[in-house]
Amino acid sequence: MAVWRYDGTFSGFLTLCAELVTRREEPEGIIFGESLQAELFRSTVDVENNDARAEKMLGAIAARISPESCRTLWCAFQSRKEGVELLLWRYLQFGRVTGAKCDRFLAHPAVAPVHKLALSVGHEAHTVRGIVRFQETAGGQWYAAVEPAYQILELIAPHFAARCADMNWLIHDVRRNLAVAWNGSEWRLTTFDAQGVPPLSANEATWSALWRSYFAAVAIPQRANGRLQQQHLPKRFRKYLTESV
Amino acid sequence: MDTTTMTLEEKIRILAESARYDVSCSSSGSSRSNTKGGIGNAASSGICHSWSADGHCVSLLKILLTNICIYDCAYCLNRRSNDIRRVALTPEEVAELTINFYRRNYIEGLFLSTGVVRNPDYTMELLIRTVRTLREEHRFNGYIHLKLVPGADPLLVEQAGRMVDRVSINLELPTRGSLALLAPDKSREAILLPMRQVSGLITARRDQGRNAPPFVPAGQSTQVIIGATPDSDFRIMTISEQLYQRMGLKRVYYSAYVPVAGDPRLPALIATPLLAREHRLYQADWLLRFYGFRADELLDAGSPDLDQELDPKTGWALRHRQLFPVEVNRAEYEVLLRVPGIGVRSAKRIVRARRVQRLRREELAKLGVVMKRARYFLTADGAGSEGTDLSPERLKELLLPGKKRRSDSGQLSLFPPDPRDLSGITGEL
Repeated sequence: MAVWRYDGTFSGFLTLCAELVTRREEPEGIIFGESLQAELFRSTVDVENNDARAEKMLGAIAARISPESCRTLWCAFQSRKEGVELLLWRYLQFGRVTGAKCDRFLAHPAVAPVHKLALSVGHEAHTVRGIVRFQETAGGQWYAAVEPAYQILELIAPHFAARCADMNWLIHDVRRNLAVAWNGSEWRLTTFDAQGVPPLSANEATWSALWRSYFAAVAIPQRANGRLQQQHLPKRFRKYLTESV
Repeated sequence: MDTTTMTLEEKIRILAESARYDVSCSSSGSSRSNTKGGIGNAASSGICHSWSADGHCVSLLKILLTNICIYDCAYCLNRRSNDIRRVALTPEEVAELTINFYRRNYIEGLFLSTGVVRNPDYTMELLIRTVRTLREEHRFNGYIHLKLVPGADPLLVEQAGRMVDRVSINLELPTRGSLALLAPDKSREAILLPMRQVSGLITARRDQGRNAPPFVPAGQSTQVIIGATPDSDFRIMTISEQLYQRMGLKRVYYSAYVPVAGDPRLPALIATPLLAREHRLYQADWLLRFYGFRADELLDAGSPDLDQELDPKTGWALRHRQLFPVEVNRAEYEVLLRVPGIGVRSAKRIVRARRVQRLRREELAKLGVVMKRARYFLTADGAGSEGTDLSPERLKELLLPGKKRRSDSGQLSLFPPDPRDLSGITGEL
């Protein structure tokens, strides 16, 4: 058994899985990038990303298990939790045996943790769809900064593409130096390491001030419940919220 | 009235403060798409955009067009006899505010209500003008919840319903008598008539097939004030049940009365809002809508109020111990739903999972079952709570919430119901 290494992309991970299947091997671990682990383990197998192979693998998963399981796999992968790759590999192995019934084994150790991760990523994406705050830049574009727990930009991009179709927007994942940008006809995930907020339009301060006073007015003082607010709106979200800046 | 000298910021503050006692916050149930060159759409799951200092979700720009009102309802901040500053926004101002908040993703849409100016028809026309400005001039396709004005012409009600996602008209007080006492200008008929009309139009729209133009796609809701009158929980739940069954309402909201200024017609006792009672009513309401319970199973004339210490489902289960334990590998979905600690989501998971495997007790927690409560009411593959003393008294003791939670009518950590849970559940159903 060896530790297998890929390039950190979903496509790279699928290529790795395809290679494991071909060689009929069982990995001891799956890692990416330069890591201490890679040095510790002498036998590291490197797999180069191959889009065509990844595509084929995904097609095979859709056919052997189900198209929904492809989605589950992708969502859980976006958690980037340490060790997620091995969990996903075991899930796929279990799926090869059980086929379309795989996702009904909700309590099975090969399935439950993957579902849980996928749900958690989906939940994070849902929350972020609400807490993104666009600011109008001097150039007439719309900029938003977020720090989600998982890499969910690709999960939320279609939502904003449909909703804000007439705006040129960019959502910046500050921690991961990534952004999704919409140009009016398509969205794209890019690396993005600009620091700070771009220069804003003259109106921006007016609207954000109006929002802040609106927000302060909606709470009923006799029902004040900071703990409940905190529970729904943890600190990590507040950093970029117009109403709490 | 000096509405012209006031800044937009002041007007917004006053009209938001006046609107906040309407607790409806949902933005779910509609899947209106964006149009070419337009802005916005509706997400059928609903989306919360923030949470205010009272822990309430902020999803829609909830605001009054004006707090000027010809009525004198005792419970209402905006009643004619109350000495407060009166302000008004123009339909254009509301539309522009909505669009600018929406583009910044502050909100999911607009919840527009108003005091009654001059007469119901004139007021309803103002609301419609606002909505039309948004939909036609700004090509806004986001969520709109519009308040109907009691007594407005049915033609105006229908016109409004064609443009918005949800309408509501508040029952406010559960009985005719309470209404006559506290809201002498509003008749129960003026409230029920538009509700019935909208219900009929929704049904008619459904029969026309999928391509017919939409009519309040997210349905209608209402609100009942809790604690301003001596009406029992049984009375309130029975009315809710009728509204769900006969009028097809999507939601009944319960709003613990917050004293907004003294009025001799109101109880002087309420120092703090009855939040615990409100919480239990919401739980019972969920049981009606998603768990197949009837109001008279939860309450009756002999015990007309919900137990404040135990949630209503656990209370029901303790009164029907002969029906338990339930075997999770065999019980029907409807039976699983009645087990304390099993919710809609976990019941569905159980049904799905047991088709391919026999469920063991230790696996149930993975399916989302709250074993802390459920353990006394189920068996899994024959295994139950052997060895535990399950006399009624002991069981109730075991099921009472832990000591660290206060059992007075102070603040529980769980209310009001999490709107995200709601959207999660309704989205699945």
